[in-house]
Amino acid sequence: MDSNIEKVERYLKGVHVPQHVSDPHRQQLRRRVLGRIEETQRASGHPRRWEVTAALAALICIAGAVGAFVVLKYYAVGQGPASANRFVSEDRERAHVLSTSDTNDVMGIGQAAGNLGDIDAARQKDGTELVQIIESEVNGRLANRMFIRKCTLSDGRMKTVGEGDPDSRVQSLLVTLPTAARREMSKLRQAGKGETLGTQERQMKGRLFLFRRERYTLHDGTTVILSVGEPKDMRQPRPGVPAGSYP
Amino acid sequence: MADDMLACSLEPRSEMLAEDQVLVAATRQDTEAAGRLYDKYYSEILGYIYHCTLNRTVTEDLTANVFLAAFAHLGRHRWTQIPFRAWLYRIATNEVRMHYRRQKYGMTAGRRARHGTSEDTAPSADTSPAATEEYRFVHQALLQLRLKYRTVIILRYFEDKTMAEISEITGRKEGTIKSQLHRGLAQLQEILMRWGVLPE
Repeated sequence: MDSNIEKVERYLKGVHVPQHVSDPHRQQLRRRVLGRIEETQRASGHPRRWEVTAALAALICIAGAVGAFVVLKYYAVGQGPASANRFVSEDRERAHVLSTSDTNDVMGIGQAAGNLGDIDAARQKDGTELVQIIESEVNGRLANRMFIRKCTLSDGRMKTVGEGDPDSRVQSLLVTLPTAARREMSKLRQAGKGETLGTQERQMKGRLFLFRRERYTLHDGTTVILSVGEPKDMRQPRPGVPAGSYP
Repeated sequence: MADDMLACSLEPRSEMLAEDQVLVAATRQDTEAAGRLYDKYYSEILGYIYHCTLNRTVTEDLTANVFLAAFAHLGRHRWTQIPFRAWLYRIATNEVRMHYRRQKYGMTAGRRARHGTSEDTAPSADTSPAATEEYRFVHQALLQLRLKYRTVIILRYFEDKTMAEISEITGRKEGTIKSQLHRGLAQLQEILMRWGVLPE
C-alpha cells in the first residue's frame, strides 16, 4: 500500500467496530421471511379452477396409461470438475453431474434439467435398462458404486445416465482420491497399466453381472481397483469403461 | 461419458454440492432450508448494514428489506455468477444506497426510519461507549466520501473482506476495487487530518 495512506490504514485497523445484536428483531424477521415463503407455497398449492381442471385431465390420461408416479424438478446448481454441470432435485435426494458435452448436446442447461425429470419418470415407470455397474475400491474399501442406465426420453431420444447407488449408502464409506491422484489414475488407465484381476460374477438388482476387475497402483502406494460389471445375459459384450481422461 | 461419471463418482457429494447451493435449491419447497440460510447470514448482514448506517432502527428496517427481497427473488439468483453470500451483500449495499438516496431527497426508509437519535445509534451493551464514539467519528468522516469509496472501505476494514470478495459483491474488477480503495483512503486521511484525528 502507498506510504501516503499508511497512516489512515493503520488507524482504521485499530478502530474498534461496534456491534449491534437484536434477538427480538432476528426472531420477528425470521417469522416474517418464513411466513412469506409458506404463503407462496400455499398459493402455488391452490391453483385457479381452470388449472385444476387441466391438471386433473392430464393426470387421468397419464395415470390410465402408466400408473401414478412423481416427476421431480431439477435445478442447476453450478459447475464441477472439467466444467461438468451439477443438478440437484427439488427434494434434495438426488444429485446428477452431466458433462459439458451432455449439456451441449441438448438445448442448454434448462433442457438438461428437464431431461433429468424425464429420466426420473422413465425410472419410475421401469422404463430404463441397467446396462453397467462401475465400482471403485481405494485401498480395499468401496469408494463408490455407479449404476449406468439406458433410458428413453419423452422426445424419443435414448440417453445413457449414471447415478450413485442410493441403497448401499456408500457415501458413509466414501474414500476420496485427491485430484492429483485422480489425474495419475487417468494417465495409468490411458497407458493401459492396470493389472487384470480376472472376472467375478455377482447378482445385482435381480440380474447376474460379470465384473471385470483391474488394479492400479499409484506412486504413493494407493491401490485402486476398478470393477466394471455387465449383465451376463447381454448378447454383445460392451467395451466397458473407455480409457479417457481421468480428471 | 462413463469415464466422466466414474471420475465424478470418486468425489464426495458434500464437496460436489456446496451447502448454500443445496439450501437455495431446496428453499422453494422447504421452509427449514430457508430458515437455515437465514440463520447463517442474518448477523453478518445486520452487522454490515449497521456499520454502513450506524443507526439501529434503519439497520433493522434495511436488513428486513434485504432478506424479504432475497427470499422473494431466489429464482433470479444465478449460481455460476455469484455466491449466495455475495449476492446478499450486494442487495444490502443497494439497500444502503437507496436509504441514502431517500434521505437526500427528504424521504424515509421504511416506516420508522429517521435521522439517528442517541437511542438509535447506540450499539448493543457489549460495546464500550468510547469505542462507539471512535467509530462514530470515523463514520462521520466516511459519510463525506462518495458511496462507492465508503462501501469498499467498510467491506475491507470493518467486514474483513478480501479484494476478490469485494469484487464479487460490487460486481467490479479487482483492479477497480484497489483503485477505489486507494482513492477513498486518501480522501479519508485528508478529512481525518483536517479534523485533527490524524497527525499532519
